[in-house]
Amino acid sequence: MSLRFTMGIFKRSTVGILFALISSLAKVHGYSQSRACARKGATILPRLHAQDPVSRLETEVIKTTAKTGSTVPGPPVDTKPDYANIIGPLGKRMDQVFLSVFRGKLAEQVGVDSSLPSTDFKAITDLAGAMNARFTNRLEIQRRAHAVLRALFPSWLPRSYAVLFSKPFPAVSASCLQPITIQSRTNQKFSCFFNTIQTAVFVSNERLGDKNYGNLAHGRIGD
Amino acid sequence: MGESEINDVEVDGGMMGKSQGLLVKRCRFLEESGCASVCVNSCKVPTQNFFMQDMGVSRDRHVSFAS
Repeated sequence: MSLRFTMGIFKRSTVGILFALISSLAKVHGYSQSRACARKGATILPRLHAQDPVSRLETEVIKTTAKTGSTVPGPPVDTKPDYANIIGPLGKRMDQVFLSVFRGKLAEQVGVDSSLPSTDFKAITDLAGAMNARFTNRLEIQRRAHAVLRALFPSWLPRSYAVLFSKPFPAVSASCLQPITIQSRTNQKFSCFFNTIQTAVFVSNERLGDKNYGNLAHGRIGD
Repeated sequence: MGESEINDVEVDGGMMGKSQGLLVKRCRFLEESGCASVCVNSCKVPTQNFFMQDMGVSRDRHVSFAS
């Protein structure tokens, strides 16, 4: 009887230790966000290590939002440009090619594709939303989005840029990216990949709140 | 994306980097997705990582979500 009781305590304590160990590992790897929380669109507080830059970023968003309650005023929604009629310098045909290639790479990472036509930009936002809904771990979402960017270029190209320009001439290489952006700005998301340093974007409060896949909050994001 | 302009920004060490910034006044992706989480996790952070890890360019993207 005494032995059985002791074994029972041992088993319970072992299970307890294992549970605590698994919980701590899950927190370290960012699995503490529940699917239910993500589906409800609740603000997800960072559970990662304090030194994790993404966690610090989200913490900053939450703190700033709580402190100010709002951010800089943006232009009214009715001044939203007609993006569909903004044509890139290479022409509408090339815009559609870029959009189609990007969508294909994004669909590979999401695992599904949209039923919308290949030239419809809404398919991009739909796929991005699907990726955020499907993978509740934000590190996994970021890894997949990063993989999409890598897949757009030959593997040797970014590395060559780093060796030939970024490392020996950091200021020049940084300046080179801005004219490329201006010249290549189109109605595709492609152009946004060259945004650097400062980006001011304006969306309506109503639209920020109407999605169901884990919006953070509206607030200024900084380092 | 919408209207944008090249600007000067503060870079490492507090010096001003001439023409090293780009102010994008409106972003189609954010505006049409309407979700800050999608913006941060699908665009902002991966793009920063791509620039830093693959291209060796240390860039930060500051996004203002405004009404």
